[in-house]
Amino acid sequence: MFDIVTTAFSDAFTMQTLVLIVVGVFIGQFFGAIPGLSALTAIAIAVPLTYYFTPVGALAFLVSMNKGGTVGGAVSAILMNTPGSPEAAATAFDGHPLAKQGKGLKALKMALFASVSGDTLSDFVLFAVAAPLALVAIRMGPTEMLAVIVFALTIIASLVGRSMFKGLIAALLGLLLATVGLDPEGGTSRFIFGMPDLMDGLPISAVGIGVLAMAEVLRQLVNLRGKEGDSHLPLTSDKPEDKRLSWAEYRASLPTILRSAVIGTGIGALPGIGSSAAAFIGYNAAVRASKEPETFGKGNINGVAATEAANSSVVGANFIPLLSLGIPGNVAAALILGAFIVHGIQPGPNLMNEQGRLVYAMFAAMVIANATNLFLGYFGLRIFALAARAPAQVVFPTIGLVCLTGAFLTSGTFGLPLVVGFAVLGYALRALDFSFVTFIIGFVLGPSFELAFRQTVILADGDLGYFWDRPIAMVIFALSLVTLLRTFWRHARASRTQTA
Amino acid sequence: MSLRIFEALIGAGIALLALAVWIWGIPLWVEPNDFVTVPPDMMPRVAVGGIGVLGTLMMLQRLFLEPDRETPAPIDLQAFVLTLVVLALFAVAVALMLTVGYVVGGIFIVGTLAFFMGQRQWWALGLTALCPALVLWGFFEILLGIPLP
Repeated sequence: MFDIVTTAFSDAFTMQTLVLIVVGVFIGQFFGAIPGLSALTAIAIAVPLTYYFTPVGALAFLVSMNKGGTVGGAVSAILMNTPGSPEAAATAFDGHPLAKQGKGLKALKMALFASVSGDTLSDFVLFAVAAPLALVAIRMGPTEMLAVIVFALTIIASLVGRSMFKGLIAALLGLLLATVGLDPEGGTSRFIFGMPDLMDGLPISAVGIGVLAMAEVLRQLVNLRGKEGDSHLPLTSDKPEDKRLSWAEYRASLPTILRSAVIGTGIGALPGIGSSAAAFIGYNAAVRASKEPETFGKGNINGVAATEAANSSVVGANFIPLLSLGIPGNVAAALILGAFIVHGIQPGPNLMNEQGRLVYAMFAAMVIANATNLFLGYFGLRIFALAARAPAQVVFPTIGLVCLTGAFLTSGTFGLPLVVGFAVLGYALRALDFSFVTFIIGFVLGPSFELAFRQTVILADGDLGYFWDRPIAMVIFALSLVTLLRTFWRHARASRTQTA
Repeated sequence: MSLRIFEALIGAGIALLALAVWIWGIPLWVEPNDFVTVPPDMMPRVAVGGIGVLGTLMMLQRLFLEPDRETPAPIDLQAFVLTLVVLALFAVAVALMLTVGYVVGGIFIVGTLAFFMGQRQWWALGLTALCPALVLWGFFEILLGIPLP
C-alpha cells in the first residue's frame, strides 16, 4: 500500500503536473467567481487543450479546475448576492448578509476552509470506495452493464430538470448523436452526410464546448446586454475580527462541515443529483440541527460552512461511478470522461486493473489540488473578488473567442462551424427547458451503451428467456422501471398540489 | 399561448420529426449492412423511436393531464432576435477565420460582441477587440508552436 502511495505521489509530483494543478485551480476559481460562468465552462474549453499534456497532467488539470470552481463560486455569491455557479446559490443566503455586516472576508474564508475540508473528505471516500467497487463491477457482463447505464440515465433524467419526458428525450438525443460515424461492427457509415470528418464521430470536445460553454456565453451575451449592475460590497470592515476566521470559529463549525461533507459525498456518489441539490440539503440539515435556526438567512456563518462543504464534497464523490463503472455522475465527470477517451483510456471496471498507476496518480493529484485550492484561495481572495467584478463586455466576448479557439485546436477547421452549430442546440435546449446535463451524459455514454446493447442482443439471440438467467440485470432494469413510475407519480402529484 | 399548449406543440413537433427521421432519414443516412449480427440502424432506431414515443407522451400529458392551464409560454421574441444576431456574428467570425485568418476573425468577434454588449468608448472597444485575439494567437502560435488558421 505504501508503495502505491509513494508511486502515485512521485507520478503526480512532476513539474508539468504541478504547474497544471496550480493553473487549473486558478482558472477554476477565476471562472467560478465570474457570475454566469462556472468551472464547467472552463472544463469544456480546456478538454481539447489537454490533448497536448500527459494523461496524469491532463486529468489533474481538469479535476483541479473542477475543485477551484467550487471555491470561486462562493465569491460572487457572498459579495454580490449573485452566485458564480448554481451550486453556490445557497451560499448567498447567509454569505451576503455577512458581507453586508462588513464580514465578507470572514465569510469567504469560512467558505474556503469548509469547501476544502468537504472536498478532502470526499476524496478520501473516493480512494477507499472506487477500487473495491470496481472489483465488484468487473464481474458484470454486458447485460448488467446495459442495465446500469439505463438505470443511470433514468435516475439522471428523473432528477434533473422539471420534466422527466424532456430529460429522457435529451438523453436519447445524446445517444442518437453518439451514433454518428462508422458502425462499430461493420464499418458502414451513419449520418455522415458525405463529410469524411464525421467518420470518427462527433468530437466530444466540440459538442461539449458548443452545448455547455458557447451556449451559456450566447445566453449571457443576450441577457446582460446593456446592463451595468454592480452591487459589489467591500470585502471587509475596519474591525480586525471581521477580517479573520479564528480556529475557535472554524472548530465550532466543524460538526456542520462534517455533516454537510457526508451529505455531499453520499449525493455525489449517485449519478445526476449534483452539487446544487447537495448544497441545499446540507443547508437545510444545518438549519434543522441548529439551536438557533432563526439566525439562518440573516448572516449565520454556519450557513456558509454547510453549503460550501456540501457542494464541494460532491466533486470527489462524483468520480466513484466514473472510475468504477465508467458512468459519469455529472457533466464535469462526463467531460473528464471525454478527456480519458482522448488519451485512449476507457474508464470502467477494468480501469483499476489496466491503469491502476494512473488512477492512483490522479488521486494524488486531487490531494495536491486540495492543498493548492486552499493556498491559492487564501491568498487570492482579493483577486477573485476583482474577477467577480470583471465587466461582462470584456469577459463574455473573450470567452466566446476562447470557445472558437478550443474548437479549432481539437477538431481543426471542421470544429469551428461544428461548435457554432452545437451552441445553437445548447441554446435551444436551455430555452425550451430540456436538460443539457442528460444530453451530454447520454452523448458520452452512447458508445458504451451501444456496445453493451449489441453484446446483449447477440448473447440473447432473440430469446427473451436469456434475461431470466441474469437476475442482477433484471433487478437493475426493474429499479429503472420503478424510478420511472415513481417520477411520473411524483410529478403528477406535484402538479395537482400546485393547481390546488 | 399557455405553457401547456406550447409544450404540447413541442412534444408534437418532436414526435413528427422523429417519425420523419425513422421513415426517411435513417434509410437515407444509415448505410445498410447484411453481414453483421446487429444491423447498423438498430441503435439509431432505438434512439429515434424512444424520442418519438416520449414526444407523443409529452404532448398527451400536456394536453390531457397537465392541470396548470394559466402559466404563459416563455416566448421572448426580442431575446430570440438578439440571439440570431449573435449567432450571425459568430458565423461571420468563423468565415473570416477560415478565409482571412484567426487574428482578423478574433478581432472581429470580440470587437463586435463588446459593441453589442453596450461598449461605446472607441479606445475601450479597440483594446477589448485587439488584446484577446493577439494574446491567444501569440500564446498558441509563438509560445506553443500550435498553428492557428
